[in-house]
Amino acid sequence: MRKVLLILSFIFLTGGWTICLLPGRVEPAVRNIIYVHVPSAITSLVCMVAVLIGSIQYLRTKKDKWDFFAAGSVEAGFIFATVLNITGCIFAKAEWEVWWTPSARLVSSATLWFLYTAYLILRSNTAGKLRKKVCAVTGIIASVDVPFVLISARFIRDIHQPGFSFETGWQYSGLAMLIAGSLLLASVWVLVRIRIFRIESKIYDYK
Amino acid sequence: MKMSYFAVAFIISWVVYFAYLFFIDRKLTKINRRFETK
Repeated sequence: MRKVLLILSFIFLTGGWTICLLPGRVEPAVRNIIYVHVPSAITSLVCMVAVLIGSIQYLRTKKDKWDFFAAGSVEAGFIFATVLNITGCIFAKAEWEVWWTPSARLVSSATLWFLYTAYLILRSNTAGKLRKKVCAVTGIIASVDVPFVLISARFIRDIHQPGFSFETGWQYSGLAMLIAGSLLLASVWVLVRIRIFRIESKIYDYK
Repeated sequence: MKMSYFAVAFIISWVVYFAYLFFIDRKLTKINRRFETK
């Protein structure tokens, strides 16, 4: 399953990038960063929802696999949230002459990154069953930011250009392929990470 | 198609990264199997 997802993510990401940079190219060139920014945003939000599911399931069933799932999703989501914020700053500087402005969408996206970081710091500084419980509760609290990001993107006016749309079908299909590819890549990362957690736990049991 | 050095480096690193993920999964499967048999 992991290999299939990996091959699919490679196909989608390579195909998406080929479409986006050739027929789907946006002018001026800096606006092509949207092909990295939007898939990263969607993937980081999906990862946070996965953290919520894993955390609730761990507290309900006390099975380690759900803790591994939540922690793996945090690690994948953290990378995408980092890419989201960095590409956002670069785009903001090029387009609106500011690296940062305290608008709802930017603040909620930055908060998402800080929540991921907080989970990772907490996880590395606790141990045993306490770690799993504390991280599960933290994961549930952290996922409260997801509706704020979605509401700020949809309903609150900010520095982002309202009613943005592409001009050609190539651009839409390229973006869709990149979103699918990013989600598949995140799922590969999560599955590989779960495998590593399982092996680690076996090592500790064996000792 | 004319390509810059940056584009060539990007494509090579892209392929290498996915190959790395592919082989790391195989390695993890072997390690896991060793624990299963013990």
